[in-house]
Amino acid sequence: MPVAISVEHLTFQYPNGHEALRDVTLDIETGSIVALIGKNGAGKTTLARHFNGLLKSTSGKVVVQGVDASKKSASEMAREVGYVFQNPEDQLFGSSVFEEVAFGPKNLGMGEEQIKGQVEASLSMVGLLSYAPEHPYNMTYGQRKMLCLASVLAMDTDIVIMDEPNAGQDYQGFCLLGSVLEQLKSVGKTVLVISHDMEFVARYCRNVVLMCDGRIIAYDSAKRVLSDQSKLELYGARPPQVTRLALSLSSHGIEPDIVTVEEMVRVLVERSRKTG
Amino acid sequence: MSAHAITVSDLAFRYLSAKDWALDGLSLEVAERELLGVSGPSGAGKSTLCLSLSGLIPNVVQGTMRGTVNVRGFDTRRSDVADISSIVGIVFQDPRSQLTGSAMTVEEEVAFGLQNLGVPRNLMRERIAEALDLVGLPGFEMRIPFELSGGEQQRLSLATVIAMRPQILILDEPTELLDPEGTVSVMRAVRSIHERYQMTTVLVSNQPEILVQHAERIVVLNRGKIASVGTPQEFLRKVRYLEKLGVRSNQVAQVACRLDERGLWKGDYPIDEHQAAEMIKRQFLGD
Repeated sequence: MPVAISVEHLTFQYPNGHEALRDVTLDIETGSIVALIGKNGAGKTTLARHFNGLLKSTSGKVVVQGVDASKKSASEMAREVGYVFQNPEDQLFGSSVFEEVAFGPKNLGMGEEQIKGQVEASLSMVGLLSYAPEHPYNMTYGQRKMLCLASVLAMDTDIVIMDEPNAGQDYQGFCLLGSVLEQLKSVGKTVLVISHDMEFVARYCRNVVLMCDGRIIAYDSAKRVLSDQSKLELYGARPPQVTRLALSLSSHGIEPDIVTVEEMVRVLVERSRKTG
Repeated sequence: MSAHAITVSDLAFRYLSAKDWALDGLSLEVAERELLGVSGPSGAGKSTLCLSLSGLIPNVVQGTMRGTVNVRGFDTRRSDVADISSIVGIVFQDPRSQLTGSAMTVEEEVAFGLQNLGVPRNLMRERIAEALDLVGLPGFEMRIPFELSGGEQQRLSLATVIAMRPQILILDEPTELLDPEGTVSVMRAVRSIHERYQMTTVLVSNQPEILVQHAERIVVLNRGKIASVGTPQEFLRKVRYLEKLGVRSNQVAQVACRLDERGLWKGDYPIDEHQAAEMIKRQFLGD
């Protein structure tokens, strides 16, 4: 598989001396949906900010779409990597929802027709098309987060990074984000999602990176990482509730690596057919 | 004084510049010492309810209010915010919006509210130590608030509020922005406070595992009205209805519901994975 992001021996030290990343090495395949998990302060955001050039490594190498990230400016990187911030107030500034989303495409030099098309398509993906003329500050926190996502989607970058898109979202937002991920996957985009919501990660992400203290502790399929309870708990994370259930039923012959509600239901329905 | 700590009658509120009513005819009674859970999709009116219970609506936040809110005998419309704030303490989602920003140490942060209440100095030390102890931050007195983790900051917010010994505690999505460790530590603190002071507590959350584990009764809001009210078991029974409203249930109840729809589940839907494991062993695995 071609690689979208390649990191080799990346170390990053903040000016105050705090070493936020220590010898991080990983490859992210083109077209994959990868979750970054781990407790606050693990280095997830610091790592992700190297992928769009917001941070420059202290040592080691970050290669994005085949080009050394240290040789590119943040504005050049913005054409390839879209970054959705955790806090909408860090991102929003436009006077209308439409203007907000149009800002990125305008900067990329798109024509007026194309901008309109991009803005409408992205707003519709996050369920905010009818809000186009409104002021962003009249929206709820969850809607403002969706607006930030739309303004990144409108730039049509090959790589999209989302920093805790779930935080502060209700179940509708949860499902909407899931459908955005599925649409991005279907057109071959590479997506990196930072999240504490293990139900979301299990349902929509193929691979999971577990981080702690600036290091990568595990990088594997969602099934493998999310069912390793002792490792997750050692590093301040937790399997989804349905996996904790599967683990406590493993002595009764239930597969311990069930990570979604649907899988658990399927397994139990089969069981009842056999015994029924 | 009524037997209820909180009585809300036909409450409606519309923010100054808004077209729609954020709350639209809501009536609710909360018993003394009850731990009430509140859930609902975004825009349902959860935060507006919190602001109304704390008297910030209508006394500080501008808009149009109908109906009444009564907290331990005080009608919030006829009382000073200062009087209500000695009865009702409120903790917000983002600890950074709660902390003063001017306190150099954790101790000063907790002392701030006490000074405003005019608590004598010798009693203040005691109150601060007790509050920090209850939220699991003993020995943090000289730490710098803004260098604490999210979970620690949120527990500090809790400490600043409970040091003032309110009779009612309002928690507006206190763990929504925290990681799993931070969430567990904050909920442990909420539990200890509730057990120690028997404080009437209103806990707003969209995290189903937390709600069903801690709340005695759960109210679901939708479009400014009450859509559902009942015990955690009754809440979980409505998995599909709640999904339609935009409220998630815990995963083990989702499993039970889907099996139930195939005629394969007997009894209530489980509160947590331990209960689920016992029920599944009995019903499916021949225990």
